[in-house]
Amino acid sequence: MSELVKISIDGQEYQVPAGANLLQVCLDLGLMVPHFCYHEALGPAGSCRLCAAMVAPSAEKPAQLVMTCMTKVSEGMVVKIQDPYAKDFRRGVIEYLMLNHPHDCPVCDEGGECMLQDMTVLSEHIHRRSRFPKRTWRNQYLGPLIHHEMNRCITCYRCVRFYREYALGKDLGVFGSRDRVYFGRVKDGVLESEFAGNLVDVCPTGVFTNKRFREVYSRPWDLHTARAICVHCSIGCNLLPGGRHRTLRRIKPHPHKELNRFFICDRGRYGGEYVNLYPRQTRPTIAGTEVGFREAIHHAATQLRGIVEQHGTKAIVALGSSRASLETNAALNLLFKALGAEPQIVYYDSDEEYAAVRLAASLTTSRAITVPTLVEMEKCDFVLSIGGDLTGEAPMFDLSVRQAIRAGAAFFVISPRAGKLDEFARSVLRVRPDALAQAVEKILQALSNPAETIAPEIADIVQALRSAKKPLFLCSAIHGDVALIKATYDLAKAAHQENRPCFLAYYYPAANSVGVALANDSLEPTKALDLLRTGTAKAVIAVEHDLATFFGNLENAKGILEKCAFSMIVSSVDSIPPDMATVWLPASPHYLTSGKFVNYEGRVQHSEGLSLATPLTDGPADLLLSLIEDLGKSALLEQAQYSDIFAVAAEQNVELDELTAKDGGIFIRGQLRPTDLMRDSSPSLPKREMIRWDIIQTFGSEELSALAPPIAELAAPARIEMHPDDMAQQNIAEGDFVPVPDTPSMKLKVVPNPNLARGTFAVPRLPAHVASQVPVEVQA
Amino acid sequence: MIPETLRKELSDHCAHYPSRQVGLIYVLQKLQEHYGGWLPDEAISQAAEIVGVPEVEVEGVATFYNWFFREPVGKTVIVCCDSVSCYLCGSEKIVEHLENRLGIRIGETTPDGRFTLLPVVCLGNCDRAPSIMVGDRLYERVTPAMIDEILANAEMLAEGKE
Repeated sequence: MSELVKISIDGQEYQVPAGANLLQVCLDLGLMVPHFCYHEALGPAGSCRLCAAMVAPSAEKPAQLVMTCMTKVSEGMVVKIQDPYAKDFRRGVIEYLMLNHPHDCPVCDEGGECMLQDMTVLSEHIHRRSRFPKRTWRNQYLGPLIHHEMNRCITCYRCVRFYREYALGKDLGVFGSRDRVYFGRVKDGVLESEFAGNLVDVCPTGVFTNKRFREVYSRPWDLHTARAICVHCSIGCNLLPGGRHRTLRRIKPHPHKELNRFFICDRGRYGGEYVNLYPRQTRPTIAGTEVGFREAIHHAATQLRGIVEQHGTKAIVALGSSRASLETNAALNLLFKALGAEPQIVYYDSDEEYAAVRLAASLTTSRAITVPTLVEMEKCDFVLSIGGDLTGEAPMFDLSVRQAIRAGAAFFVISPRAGKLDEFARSVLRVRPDALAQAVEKILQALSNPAETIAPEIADIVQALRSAKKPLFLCSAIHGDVALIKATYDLAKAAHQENRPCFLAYYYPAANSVGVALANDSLEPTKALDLLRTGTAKAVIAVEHDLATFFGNLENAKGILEKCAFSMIVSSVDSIPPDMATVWLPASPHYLTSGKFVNYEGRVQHSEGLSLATPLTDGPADLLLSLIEDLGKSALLEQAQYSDIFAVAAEQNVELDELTAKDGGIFIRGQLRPTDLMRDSSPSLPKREMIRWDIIQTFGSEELSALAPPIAELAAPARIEMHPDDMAQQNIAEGDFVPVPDTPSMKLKVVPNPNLARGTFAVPRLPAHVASQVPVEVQA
Repeated sequence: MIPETLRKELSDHCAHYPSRQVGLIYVLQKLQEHYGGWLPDEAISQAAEIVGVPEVEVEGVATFYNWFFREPVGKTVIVCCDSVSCYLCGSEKIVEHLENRLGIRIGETTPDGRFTLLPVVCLGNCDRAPSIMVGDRLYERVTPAMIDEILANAEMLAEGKE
C-alpha cells in the first residue's frame, strides 16, 4: 500500500494515496470534476483545459488555477473545485468546445450517455453566444462496425490516443490544425484494428457510434441489461448486453478489475448479434413435424428410456459443449443418471484437442502454474507467445501484450504463421506446427545448460528470459498439441524462481473449455465415434454442439444420425437442419440465459441472462432438466452437487451454487491431476511432408460470432496459404485450386504467404455451417 | 512516380537521424518541389514508404503545416494573417483589396494559375501588423496602396523564375 496524505477538497478532508492523480482522486471520491481528454486507461493529456480547479500546495500558500489531471496530490493540498473563478473558467472552456458542436442531441445516437452533454450541463454552460457558422465535415466509411459523424467532434484526441498509442493501430489519425482538425483514415475504409469498437466508448460524444446499434436504435435508458460473460473465446470478459423488446441491441464491456478493465475486442462487442437470428426453427420437432415442447420432451424421455431398457446402459452417446455453461453440461450428465445409463459424454472434436485441453486445464486448475490476469500480463517485461496467433485466438491477450510492449517488454514469438503482433517482436521463430514443442524444448535445454552452444535466435530468447523480472509465457491449447502444452509447462517451471514468479497462461478453443475439461465423464472423441459407427450406441444426444463439425461434415453427420434408433439435438443454433434428428429442442441462446463459465485462469464466473420477449424462454439446461422431470427423477436434481459431475473440490459446492455475477468470479480448485494426463500423452504423429495449420481468425473462425452479420462481413475469404518456395517446389501457382488437406472434398484458392513456415498449408478454421457455404470452386 | 535518384536521396537523408521519422518534413518538402508545388495522394504513400511510418502519420503532418498543399496551388501563394493583431490593424481591408485585384475570393486560385490566396492563422509578426506573405517573402504593415506594388513585384519575380 502506498502512503496516504491528507488533502482538503471544497472544505472537506480526505485521506488519499500520495502522488495519485488529483482528477482521478476526485472522481474516485465521487466528486464530479468536468473533464474530457483524461481517461483512466489512457492517462492525462492536459489538452482540453476543462478539469481546472483552484489548488494551493497548503492552506497558507495562495491558490492557483491548475489542470487537475496534470497534478499529483501532496500532503496538505487545498483544492477548490467549486471556486467561482474555476467555475467561470470551465464555463468558458466548454463554451469554446461547444462552438462548432451541432445541436442535434434529440436525434444523436449518443444521447442519454453523452459525456459532452453531461459535462456541458455540469459546467453550467447554458446559452450559445457565437453567431458564426459552424464548421462542417464530410464523414468517412469506417466499416460495418463504426459510424463516423465528424461534425460532433470536440477534438479531445481520445480516439487517436486509444487507437494509435494504446492499441498500437496504424490507420486512424488526426489531420489538419486549429479549428480544422479531423480524426479519421487517410481514405474511406474498414478500420484495421480488432479493438476499433472501443472508439464508441472512448469518444466522449457521438463522433464514433456503434453502427449496428444505431440501425435499430433505442435510447440507452430503455435497454434491459444483464451482467454477462463473453462466449466467444476463453478469456471470460465481463459484458453488459443491452436488449429491448425481442432483440439484443448491443454489447458494452462491463469493467472487471482484473480482466477487461475498460476495453473489449470487436468479436465480443459485435459477435452476440447471432442471438437475434438463431435458432431459426423456434418450435420443437419430432421427425421434422412441429410439436409442443411438452410433447417433444415426453417423446424424447420415452424413447431414451426404451433404448436403455432394450440395449443396456451403454447405448447412449452424448455430445456436451465447451461453449455451454457448467449447468448445461451438468444437466446432460444428470440426464444419463436419470435414465440409469452410463454417462458417455464427449466434449471435443478430436482426440488431440481432448488431450491438449485437458492437460492445460488440469495444470491451470490444480495451480501447478501461476496464471496471470489480463492486468498482470500488462506488467510483464518478457513475453513469449508460443504456438498460436493471439489476435485471433485470444484477442484481449493481444491488447494486454501490446501494453507490455509499450512499457518496453521483450516480446518473442514462436509460431508457424505470422500474426499481427509479430512486427513488435524482437525475434520470431517460424516453426512447422509439428516442431513447436521441439523449439520450446530447445529453449529449455539452453536455459538449463548455459555451457552449451546454442543457436543465436534461441540465445536471444534465453538471455532476455534470464534478465527478466516478470516473465510471461502464453501458449495456445487450441491446436491440439499436447506435447507443446507439456514443453511449455516444463519451460515455465524451469524459469520459475522463488524471487521471480513466472506466469504461464494457456488459451483454449471455447468459453467453457476449462470447465468441461474437469468433467468426470469425458469420452475421447474417437471412442464415441467408434461406438456410433459400429452401432454399439443406439442413440445420440447433441447439446450445443455442432454435429457437422464433430462428424467432419454434414453428410457424415446425417449418415450417423440415420443409423441411430434415436437422436436428439438441444441447441440454440440450428446450424444443421433440425429435422435430421428425431427430436429437435430449440433452446434460448447465451446472453438470454444464465450459467457459469470457467475462463483461462480457472475463474468461474456467472453470466446473467437478459429477459427479452423472445419466443424461447428455456435455455439448454432448462430443457434437459424438464426431460429429467418427465422421467420422474426430480429428486436427482435436488441431490446433485458440482463435485459429483466435475473434478472440483467438494467444499466449493456451496460457493459455486451461490456465485452471482457481481462477485467477479471465484477460482475453481480442480482435482484433475496433471501427472495422470501426462503419462499417456504425446502421441507420435507420422512425419508428413506437408502439414495443415488452422488459421484462427478474429472474425469468422469462432462458431457463434461467425453467425453475426457484421462479423461474417469482416471474415477473410477462405483460402489455402502456402510458402512461395513450397509452391514453386510443388509446381503450384497463385490462384490455383488445391484440395484442403483432411477435407479433400473442398478445393480452395492458393495464396502465397512468405511469413508461413515451410511445409505448411494454412487454412482458416471455419465453423461447419460457414464452411458449407464456401463455394467449392473447382479449377476450370 | 518519382525518379530513383530522388527516392534514394530522400531515404539516405532519413538515415542521418537517430529516428527516421525526423526526416519526414524534409521528404515532404522535396516531394512538394518535385510535384510542382503540391502533394498529390501518391506523394503521401511515397513519403510513408521512404520514411517508414504509417500513411496517417504523413497525412497528419502534410495537413498540419500551412506550407504543405494537398491541392494544386498557383505559382505564387499569398497568405494573409487573419489573427487578432492583424484583424485589429485592418487585415480585412487587405484581403478585400487582394481579392479585388486578383479577381478571386480568399481560398481560390486565379484562372491563369499564377496566384493562390489563403488565410493563415499567424505569421509571428504581430508587432508589425497587418502582415502577409507572398511566396517566401514577408511583408509587414501592409496597406492597400502597397498591394499593387507587391503584386507587380511578385509578377516580376514569378516571371523571372520562369
